[in-house]
Amino acid sequence: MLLCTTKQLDLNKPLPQRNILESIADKINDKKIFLSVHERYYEHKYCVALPGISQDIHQKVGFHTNRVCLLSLAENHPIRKEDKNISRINFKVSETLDRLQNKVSGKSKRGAQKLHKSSIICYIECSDDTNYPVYSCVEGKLVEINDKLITNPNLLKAKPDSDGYIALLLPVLSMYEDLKSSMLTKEQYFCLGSI
Amino acid sequence: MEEEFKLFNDLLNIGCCKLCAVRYLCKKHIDFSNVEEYLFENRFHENAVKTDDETIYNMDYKKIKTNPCIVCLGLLQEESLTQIIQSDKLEKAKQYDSEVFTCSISMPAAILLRERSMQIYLKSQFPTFYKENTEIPLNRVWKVFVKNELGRYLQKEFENSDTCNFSINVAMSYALDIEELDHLRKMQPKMYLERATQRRKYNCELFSRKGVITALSNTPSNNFMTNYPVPPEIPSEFLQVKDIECKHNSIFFAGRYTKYSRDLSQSPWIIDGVKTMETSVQEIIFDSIKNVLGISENNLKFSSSGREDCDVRCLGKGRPFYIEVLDPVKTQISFKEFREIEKEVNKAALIGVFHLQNVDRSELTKVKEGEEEKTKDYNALCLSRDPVTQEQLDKINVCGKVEILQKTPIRVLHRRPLAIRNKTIYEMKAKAVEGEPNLIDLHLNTQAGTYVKEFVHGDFGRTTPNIGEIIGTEVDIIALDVTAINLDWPREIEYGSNDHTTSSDNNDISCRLIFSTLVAATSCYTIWEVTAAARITKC
Repeated sequence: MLLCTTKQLDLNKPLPQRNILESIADKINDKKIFLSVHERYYEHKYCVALPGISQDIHQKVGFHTNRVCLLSLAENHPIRKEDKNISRINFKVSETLDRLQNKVSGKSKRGAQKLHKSSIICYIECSDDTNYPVYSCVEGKLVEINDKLITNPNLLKAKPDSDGYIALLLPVLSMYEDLKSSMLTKEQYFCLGSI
Repeated sequence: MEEEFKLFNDLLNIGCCKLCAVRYLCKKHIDFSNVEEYLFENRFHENAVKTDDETIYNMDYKKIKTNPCIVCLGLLQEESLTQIIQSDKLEKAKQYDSEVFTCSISMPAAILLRERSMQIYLKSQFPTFYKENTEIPLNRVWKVFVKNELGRYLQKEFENSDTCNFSINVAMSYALDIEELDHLRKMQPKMYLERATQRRKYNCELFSRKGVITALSNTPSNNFMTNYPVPPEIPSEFLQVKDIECKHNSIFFAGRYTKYSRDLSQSPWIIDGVKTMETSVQEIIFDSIKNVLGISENNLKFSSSGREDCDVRCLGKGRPFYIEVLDPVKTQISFKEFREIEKEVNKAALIGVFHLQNVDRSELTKVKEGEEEKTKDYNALCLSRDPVTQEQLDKINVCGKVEILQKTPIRVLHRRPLAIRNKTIYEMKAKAVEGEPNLIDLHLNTQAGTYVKEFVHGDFGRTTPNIGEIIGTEVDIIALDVTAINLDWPREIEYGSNDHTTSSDNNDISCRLIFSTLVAATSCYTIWEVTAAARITKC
């Protein structure tokens, strides 16, 4: 029977069996698959300065291939670097604006809070009484706040690249490429740190 | 009867065609395909009333030189029927393989004007008769008038429009249409001034059919009579055939497809107008249908019971799908032709199509049901950050049924609303992979609509619980196969037993079946082996 299969398939151009096996091999050989989820699907860029803001910002934006942005703290952020203990994350950024009240509906995320690059997403309050604002870094819509941070704020440090993300943002698509190129690569960011 | 004879003669006298005259007799039971018989049986010939001066209408109404009818403008006269049959626009109707047809007519709006004029005329001349009677509608009589002749010409049987799938619409135009409708401006000056000035609102159309109906219903008889002749004048032109449109209702093919490639999406994947992948499941199937049946891909629509990602294979019996064929010229597709399409699809060896067949529209709901209700089986190859212990595997294996909460994966968040969905994992079986301490071979049976990749890696804690959470370490997914979509639809084709198949066809089909099972059975094993090799090389 197998002989018959081979013979039949020979008539059709490619050899399917070989083809399929090879394609799996290609995939598995690809080193990408040994990366974790955030490494595999996100391009990480660093935001260190924003217009109108004097202090250094140490934030990271993960650009998913579908252009959704994942906001997190960069490696050199004082909280991560000095391993500070986070006592609370305050999402009520002004008298009237509470990021936790953000509600989106539909495919186009209607009703989302609009963000500028320097809009504040939250304040991280540490037990040593320091207080760090987290900026949007991205002009667009607020899609989701990571609500796990409310009960477990230290996830920010423990799993900064995965479960400790701060928010999901949807950038204005027309500015997407400019936005991405305005931020630093990992190499640039760490070079900066060493100087 | 006396009144009817009088009426009938009067109608002919003012220039009605014979069928229109009979229409105004308001008798529902008359067979309009054979009015002669009715007229003869009821002695219309003998009772033709003499007019004052001449007797020309006596008996010989057949011989009257035919002017275009003052109401239907020739629609119910031989003239227009001949024109339709001789029109080269009717040729395309012949190409359809449908054995039945139905037809409809689009008439110029001037006929509405003339019908109104007739109504006023007859109500004043025959008030008692028209108090309770209304004439038989023109379009209904037209259908009866043309159906036999048209059917003979097309070699198709006429069927009622509510059951018939193939329809022919004849659009007629009238050279003096605008000229006659212009009288409406005098009847409804305000309305038509508005229409003339607000062109965009009315789509640049001064005399739309709907507008004419409104205008006429707003115009009282005396206003109408001062602006339009009652009864209508004899027209100088017959109607002309403007267009003939043919349309067959969609037919549907159904089948199951398997996908062997990890670089193939289900539908064409277009980003910013550029196709990112060479081909897709849909395109391969459409191309094959085009090659075998000559149906253009523009007339095909693909739907399936869910979809898998481009890097996910779909094995086993495959995924049920259907294809809508829009306006099909060819509707009778043989067993052999379906098998040829399958054979054509399998040439590329990226996907397989089986059990291809005709299905009725009513069956299609089952596909959507399947999308929401049926369970799916998956085989996932998972990679753990740390070597996997038996204890961890046991944790998965004792789970049983797991209810999970799944936020819309970030992966699809750009095109799906953000929501939290409750899904059920019915069963899980985890096995170690020999020689690969970090890998887990995971078999799952899940509710339809579960995002399995996210259930494995957790999507940053947005799907809970997830495999990583269950075994207490970071887990990622390397490869995923759909092994079964538990929907019993469409019915299975018996490949071997049909007489129409040639022996070579049979041979080929069985080979392909063996081939697909073989791939399904060995695939996982192959992944592991290759992975192992890859890891070793890497180290």
